[in-house]
Amino acid sequence: MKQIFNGLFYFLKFLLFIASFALTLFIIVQMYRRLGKNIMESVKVFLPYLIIILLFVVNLFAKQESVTKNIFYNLTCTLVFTTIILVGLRAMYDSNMVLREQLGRNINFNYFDYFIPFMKIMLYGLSISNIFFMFTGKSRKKKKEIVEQVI
Amino acid sequence: MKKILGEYSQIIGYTFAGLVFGLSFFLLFVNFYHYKEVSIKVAKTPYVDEVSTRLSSNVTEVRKNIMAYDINHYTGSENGYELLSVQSRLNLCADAFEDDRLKSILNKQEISISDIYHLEALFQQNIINECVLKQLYPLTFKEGNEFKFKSNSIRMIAPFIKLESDSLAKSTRFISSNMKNNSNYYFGNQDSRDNIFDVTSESYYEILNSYEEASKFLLELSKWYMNVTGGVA
Repeated sequence: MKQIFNGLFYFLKFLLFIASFALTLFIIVQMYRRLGKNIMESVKVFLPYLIIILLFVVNLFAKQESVTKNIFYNLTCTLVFTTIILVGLRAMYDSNMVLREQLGRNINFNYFDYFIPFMKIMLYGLSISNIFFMFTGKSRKKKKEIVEQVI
Repeated sequence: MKKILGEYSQIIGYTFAGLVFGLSFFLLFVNFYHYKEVSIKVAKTPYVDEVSTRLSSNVTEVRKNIMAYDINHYTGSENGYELLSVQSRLNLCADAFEDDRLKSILNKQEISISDIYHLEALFQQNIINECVLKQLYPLTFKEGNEFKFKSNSIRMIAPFIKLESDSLAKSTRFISSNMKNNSNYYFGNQDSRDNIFDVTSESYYEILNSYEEASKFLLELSKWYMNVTGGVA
């Protein structure tokens, strides 16, 4: 059962990562276009995404089971990306927030801009916990081996 | 040593993951709550239908008053072409009240804050811009000390048009700025919920009153026009 849930969250983690990144990119591009700013200035918004995808790739290829099979970490990643997607969708489709209409382009930029610091905190938090989980790998593996030997 | 470090890194990893989990959970629910808050709807009251009926009857009366004028049969002392121009202007103003989008909002049984925003935008676009500023306000224009429209009767009514136009232009401006406050989330409570409800409800009646005020203004002008042209309604 635990393995099934872990597999589900692991799959969702990558799927929702792609969706949340695409949505953030779309809104930020529209926001910078509207302000007439250079899109290159928005790199700092995407830096946590870059770090986290790098860590995911390292986890995948280095077969770090302490991260990939950590159900709580995978669940947290799923929840974070779901939150980002829902906030992005609200910024685009919640017509009851009046600024969406007033700011033009049918996106509530003010609302999404307010969310960006929280998004960064969550993504950096995931990166930091990922790095710490990487170092637990060997000790947990050894523990498992000892338990198996005893049995 | 390695084992201890491994254990510690596991604890720190779970601490960070737990904090992020808590934050994302909070944000998810606060957004859900805010979504529910801003989706509050105000039920339509009989007063809305009354205003809607009065608007229609005022516009019908305006059309009746101004259509009596025919330049070919006009025998008065005023400039006939200027009066024809005023007729066309008042007719365009009457058209502004017969917008399908306005009717569809007034026919809704439940009004959301988005509808109020669109109603206010329609008022600004149709009544203030298209009618008051483009059609009626130019009647008060001057070139130096002289009015552009030379007819005595238009010069007489010009101060009234100017005063009413100024008043109408300012009547709903504060509403959209009040409504902006609903566009960010915060810790929701009963006060904020009531505030969004009150803004929705009060803005609705405020805009409806402005519409009625504008229709009365137009009706007054049409009565003046009928008296000047000698038409019989």
